Amino acid sequence: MRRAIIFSGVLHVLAVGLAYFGLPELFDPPMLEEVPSLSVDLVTQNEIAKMNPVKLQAPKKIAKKLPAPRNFSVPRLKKKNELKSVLKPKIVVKKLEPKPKTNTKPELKSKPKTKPELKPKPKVKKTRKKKVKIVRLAPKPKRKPKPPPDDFDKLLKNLTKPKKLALKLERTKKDSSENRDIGSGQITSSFVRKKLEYKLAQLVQKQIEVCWNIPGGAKDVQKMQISVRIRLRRDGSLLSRPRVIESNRFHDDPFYRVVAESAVRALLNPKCSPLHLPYKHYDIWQDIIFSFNPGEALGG
Amino acid sequence: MTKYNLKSWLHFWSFLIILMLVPFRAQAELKVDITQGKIEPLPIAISDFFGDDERSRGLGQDIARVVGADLERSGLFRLIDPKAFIQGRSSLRVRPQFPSWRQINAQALVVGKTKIKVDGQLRVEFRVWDVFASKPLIGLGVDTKPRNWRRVAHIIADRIYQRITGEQGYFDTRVVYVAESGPATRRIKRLAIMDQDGVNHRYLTSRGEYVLTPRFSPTKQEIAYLEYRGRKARVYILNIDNQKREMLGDFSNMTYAPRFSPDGNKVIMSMAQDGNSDIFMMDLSTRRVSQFTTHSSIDTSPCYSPDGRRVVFNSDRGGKPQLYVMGANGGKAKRISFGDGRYSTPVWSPRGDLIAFTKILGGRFYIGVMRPDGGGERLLAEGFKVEGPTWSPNGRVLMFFRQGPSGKGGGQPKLYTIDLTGYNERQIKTPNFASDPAWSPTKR
Repeated sequence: MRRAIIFSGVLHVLAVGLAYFGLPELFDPPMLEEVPSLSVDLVTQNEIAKMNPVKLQAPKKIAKKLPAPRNFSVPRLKKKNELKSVLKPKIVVKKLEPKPKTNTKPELKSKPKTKPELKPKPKVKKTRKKKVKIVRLAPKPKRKPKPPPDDFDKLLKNLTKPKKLALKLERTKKDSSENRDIGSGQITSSFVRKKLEYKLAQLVQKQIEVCWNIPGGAKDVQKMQISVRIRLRRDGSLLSRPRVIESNRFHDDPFYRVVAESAVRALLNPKCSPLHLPYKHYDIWQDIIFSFNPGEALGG
Repeated sequence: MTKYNLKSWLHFWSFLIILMLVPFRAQAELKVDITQGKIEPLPIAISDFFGDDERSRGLGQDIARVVGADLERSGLFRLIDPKAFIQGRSSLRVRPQFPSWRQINAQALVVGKTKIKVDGQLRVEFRVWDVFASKPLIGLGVDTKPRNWRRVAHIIADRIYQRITGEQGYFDTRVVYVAESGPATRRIKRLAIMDQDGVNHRYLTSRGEYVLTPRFSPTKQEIAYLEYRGRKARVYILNIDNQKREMLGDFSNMTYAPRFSPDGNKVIMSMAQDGNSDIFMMDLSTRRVSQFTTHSSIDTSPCYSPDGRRVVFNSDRGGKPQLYVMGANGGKAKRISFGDGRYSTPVWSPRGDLIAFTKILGGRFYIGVMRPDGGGERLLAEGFKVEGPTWSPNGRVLMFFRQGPSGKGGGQPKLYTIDLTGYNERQIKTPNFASDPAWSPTKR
């Protein structure tokens, strides 16, 4: 009986523990599923015609004219012999006049031997190897100049700035000799952790400030401070809705509610969600508490 | 239950409770301070209100148009072009598809419907959605006669404005002003009244009288103003509904620059006597007159604070016209303006936090604001002649008149509004030239 109770108790504890840590979304209202939408621009024919045409760089004209191509007529080859004669250059050599054939034996003594006059051999012009100028058939391919950066590129740069910062942090993390456990990102040095927390906080701050539209006219706005808590997934997207910590004041004070709603809107703005944060430090940034200070923002 | 069993149960439960209390993993949250932001008009999408028949649909379109114009004129909202809407009207009538509204950068969405009921009454319902949070912000239904559709639109605009900005709306209000016509040397001045957006314009006085400085009563449909009859200039009270007028008191001297007290029971004004001007109060029920200031200087342009306890006025007792504050029951006047130039026409904001004024410095005119203690002076508008500020009932917007130098195109005053932050200066169109505006209270 005793064993059974202990066994049952341990199993119950395990079950509760699994539920507590494994089901964080249990009491959170479900986020509305995003239906992906495609933005389409309808453009008329006139608008296409009005669009600035992309100027292609015309190839430069070749300065030197190509030599006229030789007309080689390739005869029909019937015999192998003919092929040989085509391939081999023809060297015209005048034949020596053949000795006149006489029946009688020539008087060897009486007649001096006269060697037949050899006609001078035709001088075969030796072609000197001249320096051949290599005439380019086409000009050197010039390197295409880099197109000027697009406005879209600039936008991209702005958008990826936080990403670049996140990457930098990843690299500094790698370089850090203090890091012992690379696999899970756990840092044992508290000083390094604090430094990292500071940098991560700055990274988050830069991303959210762009999206916070402050209701400047709200009464006593300078004295307010709104605390909002969020939980994030590993990809930086929201795990659940942002929660305003002073929920009583949220419901009782209309001006507080207006400023708190502006803070929540900043966190839900698609331009600022998901947050771009280094994956390896998820254990540090998965839970964030924001403190929105309109007074400081308005210079009060 | 045996002793043995009870003991083991107790051990088990205490073990369980202790385990539940001990945190398994201490998680520290990352703390981030947001100390910067932006102040921009909120992008809002307003769909034409739905209707089942042609007349309802027509009214729905008109109401949506007026709501949009009010919100956009405030400078705190930016309307999204209806041509950019992705979701179709038939599906929007069922429920908004928030991703398609986020796609066009809408942060708030207004949807409504109109219906002419069997009894002829107009029923208007609207709802405002928070697009990012995918939840409703406010919803309301209004029943009225169809000819009041414009007022319904202003009331809806007020509610949307209040819900999103936290400020009281000011769209269901009117403005009374001096309508000017004719050449500069023979200017004809008449009292006129219109809605704050310039619609429903009508004249309150005829051409014969020369009128100045009209002011609304906070409690009744009455206006206090200055009128010249022959050579006599006196303060009169005019009833807006029946246009009957009554001279206020029987003063032997000129009375001018009248204003009502916040409770509507008194009128405070200036009276000129032998080159000197002092401030007097008259109780409207008893008609008893009491003197407020007794200085030998020119004291004029008095204005109550919204709580009725103090009065700000303009006096040249220090040499140049400056602003002074005094208790409503009398006492010592405390000077609050110390800058260069001349200060006049002080007007206390209905919120109580600012006093608007006209300043003349270096030959130029300015409209400015300062705190009731005199600090934080800010100049909002400048011109050859800008004068006569009046506050909207929520203390957020100032209306004044601007006039160029006389000559070609000059000498033609026009009405302008400006936000207290100094932004969003806009002209209010009037049939003729206009000066000396006064904003009505919210409930009319």
